[in-house]
Parts: sequence; C-alpha cells; structure tokens
Amino acid sequence: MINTEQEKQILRYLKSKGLAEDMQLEIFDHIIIQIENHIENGDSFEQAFEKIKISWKRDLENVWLNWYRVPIIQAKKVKSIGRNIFIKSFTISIVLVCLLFSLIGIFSKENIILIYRYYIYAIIGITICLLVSNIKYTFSILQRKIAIGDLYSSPIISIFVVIASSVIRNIQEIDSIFDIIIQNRFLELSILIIVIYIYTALALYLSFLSIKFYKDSKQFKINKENTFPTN
Amino acid sequence: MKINKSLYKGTLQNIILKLLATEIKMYGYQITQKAKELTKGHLEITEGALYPILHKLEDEGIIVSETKKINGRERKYYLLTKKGKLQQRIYEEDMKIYLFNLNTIFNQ
Repeated sequence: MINTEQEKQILRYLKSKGLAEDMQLEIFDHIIIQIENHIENGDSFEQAFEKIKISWKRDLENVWLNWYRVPIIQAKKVKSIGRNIFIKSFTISIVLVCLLFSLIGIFSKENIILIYRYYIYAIIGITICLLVSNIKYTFSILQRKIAIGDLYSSPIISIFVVIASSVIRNIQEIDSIFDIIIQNRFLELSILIIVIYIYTALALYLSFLSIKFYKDSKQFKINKENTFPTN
Repeated sequence: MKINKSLYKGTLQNIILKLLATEIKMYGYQITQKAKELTKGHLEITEGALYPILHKLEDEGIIVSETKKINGRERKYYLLTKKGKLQQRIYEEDMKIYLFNLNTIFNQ
C-alpha cells in the first residue's frame, strides 16, 4: 500500500531522529503497519504520517546520554543493556589490571614496556576497526561516542592518556624521574594512584570495546541481508 | 474503565514472554496488538517500553530474533530460546503466586 518514495520518507524521518540501524529496522516496519492501518481507515499517507509522528514524538525525542543526544527509545536500550556490559567489562578490566601489575614482579623492565605497548596498540587497533567498520548499530554508535567523546575529548582522562603515552615513550628515562619521586612519599603515592587509574581506565575501555565489537558483529550478521530503501 | 498504566510496569517483561511462549514467533507490532486484544484494550504496550525490553531479553539470551522478508521489507521476529523457555516457566510460576497473593488480599 505504501510506495517506495513514501518508505524513503519514513526512513529519512527515522534517520533525522538519530536512530541506530538495529532499532530502525523494526521501528520502520512498525510505523509502516501503523500508517497502513490509518490509510485503511480513510486517511491519506500525509495525514497518517503526521498522526504517527505525533504518537512517536515522545519515544523519538532526543535526550542527553552521557555527552550526546540520542532518541529516548535508544537511550532506554543502552541503559538496560549497558549495565550488563559495564559489569562484564569491569570484571575483565580488574583481571587485566591485576595481571599487568603482577607482571611487574615477574618480567624485566623491557618486557613490561613491550606488554604496555601492545596493550595500547590493541586499544588503538580495536578503535580503528570500529571506526572503519561503518556498522551503525546502537553499540557502535555508543562505542564511537565513548571512544571519541569520553576517552579522547574528556579533558581529565585525555590528560591521563597523554601522561600514560609519554611515560611509555620515555620509559627509558623513567629511572631518573623515579629518583626524584622516591624522595617524596606523597608524590610517589600520587603517581602510583594515577598509574593505577590510567591502566584501570584503559583496561575498562579495552574490555568495553571488545564486548561491544563482538555484539555489533553478531548484530551485523543477523541483519546483513537488510533491504532498506536507499536515499 | 481506565486502569493505571503504571500497575503493568513491572510485569511487562513477563507479559511479553508469556505471549511469545503462546504464539511461538512474534514481531513488535504483533505483540502490542495481541496484548491489546487479550485485555480488551486495557493494556496498550507502548513502543518505547516494548523495544528496549525485547533488545534487553535478546542480549540476555532469553529470546532470539530472525528477520524475514514480508511484502518486500524486513520484519524482525522474536522467539524464545531454550534458556528463555525455561526462564519463562519460572517467571510464570512466580507470577501466578504473585496474582494469587493479590487476589487473597483484595478479595477478602
């Protein structure tokens, strides 16, 4: 009953609301059925579409999620699923941090530097994978927001990242820095807390990325034959 | 007679699971209509409540989705997994006890 041009109009409307593709698929179908019902009752497409826009207004209204605006319906999904992911990520990150710190006692300084470098490479690698994969599902959108927004743009965390990367780059010269620090207990303790914080944040981020990447890939497999009309 | 919608709030997940257990395979719009039909219009599950619950259940492995092409467009159907069927039976038993207790209190 609804022609391709009208379908495109509906899809443009959903995209303009910033809805991720995993939710677009079924909401698009849902709206079409609702519009068809209105048309059966005598409305024109335009009238029916206007009524549907009003009925969906609240669910598609954009709200703040962390630092970004997303439709309420998607924010609800992120909140309900995000909690589980956060718990899993947090557990993995604790294990990773414990592992990294336990390595200090086992390996030589050179090996630890190498492990830390691979650790950073892994984070950068997964981020790039997600950015170039062009999968526009809730998790990848959220992921990008966390990657670009929370980690790199957040002033406090980015300072930590800069410190961490410069420490890794200049780790050969760290002995002389430690000589100064070791004479000041307060400074020593502060540096230790900052280092633990940096690695906990990075480990948390790495786990978060991995879980989300896995979920997005799974979602992508489900919807790979998705036949949305193109703009 | 208008019923306070918030009374259904905590039971929506159970209602969706029960509908899926009965109908085997359903899509979003169908779930809202079935709930409305069975309750003679009293229960209107809003889309804003329905889809986040469905996605959460899918994430927990309680339901699984499959897409089918209907009238040239994709439709996402949900069905219970093995774990979901088991879980649903437990929820249903809990729900019956809950309803029995409510009955006892309100019918005295």
